[in-house]
Amino acid sequence: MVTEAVVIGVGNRWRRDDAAGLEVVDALRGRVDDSVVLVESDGEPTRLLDAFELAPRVIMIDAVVTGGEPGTVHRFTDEQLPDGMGIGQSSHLVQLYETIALGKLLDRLPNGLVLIGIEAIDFDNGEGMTDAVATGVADAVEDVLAELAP
Amino acid sequence: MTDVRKIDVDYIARVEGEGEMHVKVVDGVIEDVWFGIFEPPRFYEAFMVGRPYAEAPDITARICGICPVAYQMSSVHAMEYAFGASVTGQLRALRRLLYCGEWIESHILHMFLLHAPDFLGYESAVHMAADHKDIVELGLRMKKAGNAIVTVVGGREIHPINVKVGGFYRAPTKKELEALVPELEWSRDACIETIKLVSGFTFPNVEQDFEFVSMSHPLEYPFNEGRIVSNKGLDIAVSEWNDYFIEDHVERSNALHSTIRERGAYHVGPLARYALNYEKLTPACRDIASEVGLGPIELNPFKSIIVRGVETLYAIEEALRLIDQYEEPAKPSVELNVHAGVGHGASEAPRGLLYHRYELDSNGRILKAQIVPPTAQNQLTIEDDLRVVLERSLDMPDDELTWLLEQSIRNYDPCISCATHFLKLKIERISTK
Repeated sequence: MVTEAVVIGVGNRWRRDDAAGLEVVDALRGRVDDSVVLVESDGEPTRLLDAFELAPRVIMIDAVVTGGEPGTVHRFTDEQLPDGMGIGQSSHLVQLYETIALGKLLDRLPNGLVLIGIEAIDFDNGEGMTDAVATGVADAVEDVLAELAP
Repeated sequence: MTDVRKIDVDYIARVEGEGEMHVKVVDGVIEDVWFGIFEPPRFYEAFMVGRPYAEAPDITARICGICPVAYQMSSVHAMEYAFGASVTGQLRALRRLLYCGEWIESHILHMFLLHAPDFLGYESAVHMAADHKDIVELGLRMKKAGNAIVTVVGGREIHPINVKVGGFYRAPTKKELEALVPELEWSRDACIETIKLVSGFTFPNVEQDFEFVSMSHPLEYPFNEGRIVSNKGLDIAVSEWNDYFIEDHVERSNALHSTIRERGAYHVGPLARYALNYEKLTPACRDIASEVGLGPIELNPFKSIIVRGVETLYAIEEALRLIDQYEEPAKPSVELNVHAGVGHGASEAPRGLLYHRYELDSNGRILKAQIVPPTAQNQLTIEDDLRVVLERSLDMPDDELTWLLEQSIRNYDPCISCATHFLKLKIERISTK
């Protein structure tokens, strides 16, 4: 089967809500077919650049902090992402934003990408997300599936 | 009239994780220099208590996404020390190979995406890439060669899962390793070009009388075995760590500073390893070092970028040698005789010496864990460097000075944490005039 999309969850499972992106990818296992590649990332830029090349469509999921209600799911295209800090910060936004910018400069993202952001609040050391963010993860899974639907 | 100048950088860009820097200058005199780090190892030390010994490599590997292999290696060596196990032959060689992969990945990432923009005058790797696409692509391809080693030997790129106390869960086939050779050979040439390139940068003329500390092995450039030595007479077994080094709590931070008893600050990382193990480098490494003007000891911390290049070349050549001599081992790990004891392990993470110590009960459960990461060891030395750089550069405007101070911190490639990555930069200038 031709690989059509790569879905990249970004996060750190040992920093509470920062696990959100990885949890979405976990929940997608078994719910997508072979045309979709699932990737886990800790935000390291060069591996993300490699992941961008895996498929023509790129969907990325990460915890974000915009000051909104925890668990809220946001959707951004690469063109809507700020060139500063205008709409708030992903827990990996500087790296992510820079990596996305690098991806575009280096022709790794010819079709751009979609970033699904889950509003998060607790980045303490330790495992386990807050309830609101866990609910957000469940919503984000459905949103990603809708993105992938033909 | 008092003139108070304060530079506060709460989060330092292009440092792996988060750090803070505070500088206070009163009437042209430096009153306070502080470089702070948030240390996740403290959390992991507590988290491991009560867990089985076998979990230590996987748990500690999560401390840093850039150097998981280092954490795995120091922990498996500590456990093997406690159980009296010895990992030799091709299993030992595979561990060296895995470490080569991590050095390539980590050094290249730092040189190309984090440190080079400082020297070339760009705010970030993105700004640099816009003008120097070819340079960034060169770095990315070399880094991929390192990633490939970690994937094949370590089992997975991020937080490799194939390493275990006693060896590996599965040893790679000769064929799997041979597939890595063409890109490594390409990388060897690319690395020589890289060393020439970075040695052409302009370096602030700063030299410090460092006490360099690194591992030392009689036959090889150190990764995961040897004694701990310094250029000022230290020469101890890894198990003697706590007799010679102290970790002190520092005011204003929950971080611990490391010092050598009765001597103070010391320096770990590429400059230290290079100075203490120069003769163990390959001839090609020594040749290119000499061609670009490095002596056997380099005391300018800004030139660490060149030394990282030389160490990357070493890692590439060593990887090629290990692959060439590889024979698949009969078993992927050795038997362990689990019993109560104390284990010590040290290895050379890309950014410097990493020491682990564990106390274990008779079932191999962890009673106590101690992790001394390289950045905590370099913290005082980084502050010393900041002071020296400040003294020479007080007439600079705040923005240029901040840039230079941040660059000084990045000389150490500080792995402050593999944490979340907020970035807020605040410069506060207070003047009573």
